[in-house]
Amino acid sequence: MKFWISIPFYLWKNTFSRWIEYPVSPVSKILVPFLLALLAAAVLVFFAKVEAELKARLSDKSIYTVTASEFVGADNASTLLRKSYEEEVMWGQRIGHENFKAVRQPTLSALINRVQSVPLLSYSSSLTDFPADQTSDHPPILRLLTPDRSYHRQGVEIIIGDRSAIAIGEPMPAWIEKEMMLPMVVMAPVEVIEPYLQRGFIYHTVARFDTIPQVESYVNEARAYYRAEHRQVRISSALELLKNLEQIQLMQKFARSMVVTGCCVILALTLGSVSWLEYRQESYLLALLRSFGTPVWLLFLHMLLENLLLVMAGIAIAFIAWRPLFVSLVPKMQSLGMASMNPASLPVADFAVIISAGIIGVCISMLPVAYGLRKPTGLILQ
Amino acid sequence: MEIELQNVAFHYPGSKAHVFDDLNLRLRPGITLAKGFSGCGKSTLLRLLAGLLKPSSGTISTSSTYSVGSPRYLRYEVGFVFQQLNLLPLASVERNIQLSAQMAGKSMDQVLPWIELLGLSEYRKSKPSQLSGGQQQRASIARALAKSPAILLLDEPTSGLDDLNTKIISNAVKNRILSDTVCVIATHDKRLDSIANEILDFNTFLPLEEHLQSLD
Repeated sequence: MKFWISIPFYLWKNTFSRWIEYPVSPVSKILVPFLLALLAAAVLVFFAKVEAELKARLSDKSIYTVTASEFVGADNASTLLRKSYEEEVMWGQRIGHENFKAVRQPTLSALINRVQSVPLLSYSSSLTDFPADQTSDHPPILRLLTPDRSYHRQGVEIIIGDRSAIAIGEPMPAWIEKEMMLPMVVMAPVEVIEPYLQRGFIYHTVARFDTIPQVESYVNEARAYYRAEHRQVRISSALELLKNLEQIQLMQKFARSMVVTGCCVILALTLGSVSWLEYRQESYLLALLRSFGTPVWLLFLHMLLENLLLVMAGIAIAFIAWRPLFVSLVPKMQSLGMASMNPASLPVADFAVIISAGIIGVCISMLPVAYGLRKPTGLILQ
Repeated sequence: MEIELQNVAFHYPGSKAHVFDDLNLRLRPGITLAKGFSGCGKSTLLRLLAGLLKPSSGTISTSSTYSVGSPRYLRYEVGFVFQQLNLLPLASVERNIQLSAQMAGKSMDQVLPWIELLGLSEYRKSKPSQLSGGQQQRASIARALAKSPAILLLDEPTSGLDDLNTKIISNAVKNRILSDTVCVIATHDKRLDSIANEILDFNTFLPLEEHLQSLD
C-alpha cells in the first residue's frame, strides 16, 4: 500500500475516533451549515417565487401595451366627452390610428336576453376595428362581442335603458378581451348611446407599441398631459411590472450575494474556530506524521475534506428536510395570512449559490489551519 | 552519508539568545553521541540535522540527493526517535512500524525482523497505550531502524529505561545500522558510551553563563 493511501487511512481512522470521542465537533460542523442552508433557501425561494409571480403576470399582459382609464362624472361629462373625441384624434395621429383604441363606457349596462347584464362600450368613427357599418339607409349596427361562437352571426335582443334593439354577435377583438379583460361586451356607435354618456362615463384607451422606450415615452407624455389637464387618469402598463421585476431581480442578486457572504462569514468563523481548536489538539500527531515525511498538503487536504464532508452533509440534510419542513409550516403561515406560501422548490441557480457559499466558507475556515501547518515541525515536537 | 554544518547559528523564535552561534561540524558514518547539560542544544542539533528546524544562518549540507527537511529527505533518509510520544496512538505496534517503513518504500517482510529483534513479537498487535515506557521506546526504535535510514537520530532513547531495555536498544543500534549510516544519539546515559564511535561534548560549544541566560 502506498503511503498516500495508508496515511489518509490512518488520518480518517483518527478522525472517526475523534468524532466518537467529541461528537460536539462534527455535530456543530453539520448543524451550522444545515441551519444556514435552510435560512438561505427560505430567502432565495421567496425571491424566486416573487420573480415567478411577476413573470406570470407579465405573460398575461402584453409588455408593449399601455391602458388608461378615466372616470368622468355627470357634471363635466359633456365637456370631457367632446374633449375625448379630440384626444382620440390627437393620439391617433401621434402614434398611429391602428395602434390607438379609445372607447367610452356609460354608467349603465346592456341586458341581453332580458337577464344577463353586459358592459356597454361606445366607439367613434376613428376606431378602425369596426369599419363603416352604417349608411344613411341602415340604422347603426350594435355588436355583441363575445368569444362564444354560438352568438356569432346571430341577432340577439338587447335592452339599453328603456330601449330595445337587436345586436349582431361577432368575435371579440383580442385587445378588448386581453387588455380590458371583458368577457362579453355590447359595442355601440357613440351617437347611439351619447345621451347615456352625458350622464357620466369611463373613458378607456389602449395604446400599443413595439419597444419599451416607446412605451416609456408615451407613459411619460400621457402622464404629463393629464397632470396639466388636472385630470385623474389611471395609466397602467407592464412598465411598472418590468420595473418591479428589475427591482426584484436586483434584490435577488443582492440577496444571493448576501447569502453567499453571510454563509461564508458565519461558516468561516465557526468552522475556523473549531478547526483551529482541532488542529491545536492534533498538532503533535500531525507534526509526528510530518517528521516521517508526510507532505503538508496531504494533511491539509485531509482536514479540508473532513470539513467539506461535514458541511456538505449539513447542506444536503437541509435540502432534504426543506420540503417536509415547509409543508408542516405552510398551514401555520396560511393561518397568519400568508396564503400564497407553498413549498416551492429551490431553483438550481440558488442551489448552486448555497453550495458555493459552503465551499468558499470551508476554504476560508482552513486559513488558520494552513497558517498552523507552516510552523516548523521541530518547534511542535519539543 | 556525510553531513556538514557550516557556520550554523540557531535561536528559537521569540528568544534572542542563540542555541548555536557559529557551529561547524562534520558527521561521518558511525555512531556519534551528543552529550552535554540539559538545554545545551543536543535535541536542537538533531532537529536541525533532520531539517525539522531551519538554522537562523549557516548551512547544513548532506550527500543525500534530497534537500534537508524536504518530505522525501525525511521519508527516505531520516529515522528519528523523539524523547516522548513517538507512536501513533491508534495504530498497533506492527502498523506503526509498517507505516513508517512503507513511506521509505520498504515491504512488510523487511519490517518483521525488527519487531523480533527488539523483543516486540508478542506486542505486535498491541496499541501504544497498552505498552510500558520501555516497550514503547523499543517500538519507536524499531520503527526508525525498519526504514534502514542513512541518518538515524535518537533523542534520549534510553532515558528512564532499565539495563535490559537499554541493552536491547544499544545492541540493535550498534549491530543493525548500515555501514554508511550517520547515527547521532543525544543522551546523558553513560551506558551508551560503549557503542559510540565519536562523542560530541556540547559543554564545549556554549559557555554555561550564556546558556543559563538563554534559559531565562
